[in-house]
Amino acid sequence: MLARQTNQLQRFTQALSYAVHPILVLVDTPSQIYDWLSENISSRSALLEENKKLNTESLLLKAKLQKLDVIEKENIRLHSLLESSFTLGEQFIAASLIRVKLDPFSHMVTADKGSRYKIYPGQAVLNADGVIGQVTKVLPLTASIILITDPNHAIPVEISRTGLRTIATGSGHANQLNLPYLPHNADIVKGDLLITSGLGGLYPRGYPVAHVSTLTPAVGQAFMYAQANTVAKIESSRELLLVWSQQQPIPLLPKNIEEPLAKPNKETNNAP
Amino acid sequence: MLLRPSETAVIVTSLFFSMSLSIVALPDQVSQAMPNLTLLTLIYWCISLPHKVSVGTGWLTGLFVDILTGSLMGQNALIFSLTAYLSHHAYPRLKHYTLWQQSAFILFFLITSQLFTLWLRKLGGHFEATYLFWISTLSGALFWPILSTTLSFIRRHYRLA
Repeated sequence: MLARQTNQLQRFTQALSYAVHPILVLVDTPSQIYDWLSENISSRSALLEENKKLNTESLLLKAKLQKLDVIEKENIRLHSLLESSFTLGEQFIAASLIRVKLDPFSHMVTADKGSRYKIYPGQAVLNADGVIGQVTKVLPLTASIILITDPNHAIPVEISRTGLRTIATGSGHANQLNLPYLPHNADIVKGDLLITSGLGGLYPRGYPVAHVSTLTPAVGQAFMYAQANTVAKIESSRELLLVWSQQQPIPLLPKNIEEPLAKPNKETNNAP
Repeated sequence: MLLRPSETAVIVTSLFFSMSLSIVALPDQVSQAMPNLTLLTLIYWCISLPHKVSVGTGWLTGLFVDILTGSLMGQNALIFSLTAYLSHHAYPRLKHYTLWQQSAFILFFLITSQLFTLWLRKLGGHFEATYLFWISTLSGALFWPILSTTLSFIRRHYRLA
């Protein structure tokens, strides 16, 4: 009964999940109603103000994006000169959290989109600030997401300042990660930003994960003890972004340079 | 004349209601110390309607809880059927006890089921049993009189055997 974690029971589980879905909807209803009410009751001036703020923000982001477009093109060109492949342009789908707590002893959340939206296990989940977790279980109408703070979860990261790669595991506490594999001579200081390194292929490269918060060199131990606070706060927003990162790399541009450039000495940071 | 729903309808409704109560989003500490309401409801029906509810119902309920909470398939099914067996085995005595004496027995059932949960979850991966994990059995036993009174009120209201 326990050992059948294979695909044999998948159809059965999916069928039964339709039966329990009403429970999820029922439990989520009060918070939906609350959101709806606060949306409808908020005053005109507050709405106008919010609109103004969003407009400003959109303008700023657009201005940044203009520059980013050029940089992206340049990056592809440079990568093709180095003859390394480059992936780009992940696709996103937005989903909302269903406000339920299925298992009090693990860090899991539930999203309101499932396999009907072609969501697959292992998909990376972000919000507006940074990485939140990955999809573990997909049912037709919902998907379970394990947070990066779950003690059973580990995420490959690199320090954006130095490029040092390491692994961050969940601590079991809200918004906190452990960095158990840092040697004593690692170049890391408090406040360093950790970004996804793209190793392992699940998380796309370059999304912010956490800021280093404490560094304690443990005497007599092989590794130092470090903790980090996650950038994305799960309790702050209800919106999620699911990323499709399983894409073919963009093919290399045709070679139009006769002699390859001298290879730079430092290691190439190409995406896998 | 009141419309009389069948026994099955009342039992199924109460089990589904307790399931939905147990997944309401609460702060971590609170939800870890919360009693397992579905299990308590199942125990109640096992004691009061033993001809209707027993191990089979326990297994089915556990299966639904498994799918709802996305835990290992069969984990809760095993625990629920075990608890259903225990309470079904003890119902002739439990029926005549006072509420607090029943509570003591329920505490024993809940600890047994929690031990099994601990064992199964340790097999499944990293799991740390905090003291809150054990407090939930105690809170379950303390909650038993309330739940039992409520459900027997419902039972009398619908005049179930």
